Amino acid sequence: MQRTSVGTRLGRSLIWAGLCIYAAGIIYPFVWMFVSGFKTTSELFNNTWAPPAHWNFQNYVDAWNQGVGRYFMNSVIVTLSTVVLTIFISAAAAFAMSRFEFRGKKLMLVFVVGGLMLSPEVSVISLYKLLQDMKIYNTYLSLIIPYTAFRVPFTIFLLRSYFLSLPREVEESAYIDGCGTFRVFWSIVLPMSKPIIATASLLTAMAAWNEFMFGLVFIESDKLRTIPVGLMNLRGAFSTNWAVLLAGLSISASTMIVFFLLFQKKLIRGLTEGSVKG
Amino acid sequence: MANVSLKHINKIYAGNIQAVKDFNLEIEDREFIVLVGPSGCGKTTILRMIAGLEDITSGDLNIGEKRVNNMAPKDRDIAMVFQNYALYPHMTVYENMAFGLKIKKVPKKEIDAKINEAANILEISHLLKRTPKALSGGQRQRVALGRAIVRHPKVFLMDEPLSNLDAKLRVQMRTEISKLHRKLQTTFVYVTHDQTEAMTMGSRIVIMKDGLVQQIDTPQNAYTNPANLFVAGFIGSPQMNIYKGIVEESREGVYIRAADSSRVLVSQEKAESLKRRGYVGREVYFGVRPENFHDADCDPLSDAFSDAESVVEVAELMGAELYLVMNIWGCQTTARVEAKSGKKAGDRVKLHYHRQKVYLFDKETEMTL
Repeated sequence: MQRTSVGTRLGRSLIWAGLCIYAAGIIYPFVWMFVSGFKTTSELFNNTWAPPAHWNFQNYVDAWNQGVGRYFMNSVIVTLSTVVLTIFISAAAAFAMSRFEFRGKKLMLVFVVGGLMLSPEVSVISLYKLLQDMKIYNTYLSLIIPYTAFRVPFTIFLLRSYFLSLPREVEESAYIDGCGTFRVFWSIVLPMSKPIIATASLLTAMAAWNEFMFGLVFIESDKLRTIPVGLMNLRGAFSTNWAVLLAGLSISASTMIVFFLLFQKKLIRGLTEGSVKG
Repeated sequence: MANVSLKHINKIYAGNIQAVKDFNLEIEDREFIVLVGPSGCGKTTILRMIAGLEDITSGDLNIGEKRVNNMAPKDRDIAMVFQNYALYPHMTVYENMAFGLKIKKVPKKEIDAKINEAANILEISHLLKRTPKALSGGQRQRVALGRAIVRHPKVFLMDEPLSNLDAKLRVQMRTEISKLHRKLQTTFVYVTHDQTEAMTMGSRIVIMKDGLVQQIDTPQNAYTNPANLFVAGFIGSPQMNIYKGIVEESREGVYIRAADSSRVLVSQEKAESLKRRGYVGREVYFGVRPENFHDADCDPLSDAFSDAESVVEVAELMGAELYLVMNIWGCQTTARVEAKSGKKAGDRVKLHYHRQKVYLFDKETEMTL
């Protein structure tokens, strides 16, 4: 082992300290929200920063029973469907765009990249009319389809550049081994792209899970609301039980955090892959 | 097992770049054909066209009796080994080898038997459960070979399979591939840029340059009777020394006047041929292989020879041999002499060379005279 000089160690310590402060800045508000979910509302206002005198799980139970449970399941259904649909469509499109020569390929790419520029807010009214005409307004599909449509351009972009970096010989080898195009896509390209698919899935999941505007506009029925919109229901017109609301927010946020922690390794690999030789 | 026939094959890429020009080759059943040439000569393109990975612009490609121009790779009954192994990274060695068979719906027991047999031949039985990531370069190449073997294809295609291995392993794998060919008794088509591989492995070699075939011959013939200047320079290591000179005639006969004005004598037979064909007074290329120079001090020649003298600039001892680099006939020359010659840089050396081993080439066409 090489001995590190005092200067290097000092430098490292400073970087560490900086990162620790940064981490605290991100973690603390979440921990505060999570912990405050155990307080009573009066305790929350009188003793804002202190830990709860009595760890009261009732807020979490209340939040769950007051609809968060249902919103949670709705969000899970919408998010999972969006992720599966987005990944499948994007991977297939990215595969075609990275492997085949066809007329209008460049135009298609420009079209996809153009989709990245489109802001969801601009299309709310037209989508609203469209969904009504398609008779899927106020159903899960009224969220799943727009979410997928808005995530597909970026995901194609992400997957295509990854596919381009995959060694072509492996696929050629599979063609010689007897595969057709779909088999090569399904059995070779997709498994080889696990890290980037994990990354794309997570990014899509986060976007779908946290989306608010479409969830508010395209869903009318309380039974179908997703969690970000549903949490609004916990705010009463005259009074709000803030502690219960914080508990609901904690449930919503922690799902994505757990999801992230599970996929963390793959996510980082997906983001750095291509720049480092494997 | 099958013969492969390529007739008037052309390959033109977008932008009118012609990679292969009127390629003709009849590969016999069980032959080991090596396509060799510098990079960009079209050798890999031909291999990929045989594999079906590249469209054929014009011409006929037959494997066995069938014309396969428009047949998908999977229907051609071929196997290919790639330079960078191209193993499936997410599968174990066993799965890699089984993949092709599974697609063909071969029964599991049979797959098992075939893989075990191939693994035994290649000595990779202990690696079957590992993934490619956990293998060394040499092991990966064996797995790639194994994946090809288990399918018992009609034709084996190999695209520079040894290029990514280190020198020692390359020599070892070279022998193993030759052994494998004898054992499997299948047609092999092998692409390389390394003339040593071509010389040692091929039953015939196809030497290519700029999309054109230069010579199709046995390694021995390509070495002793190169068709043109390019083949002469490409085959043989170190490569043939090439000089420019003018054919002249005096009372003693026909000789070549080299760039430094010295006379280079050629065999009687060649001299007559030059005269008969009207080369007297014309410029030609001539070449002498390094091994056809001999140190006069330790290696007297018995047949007709001549001398050349120079001062050694660099002496490289290779073990059994010594490479002497010096200026002869106005050009940098390498002579491969016996190590016992013991010459060092700065020594004056007298070299003998066989007259009948002076190669002559036309200045314009570069064809052998």
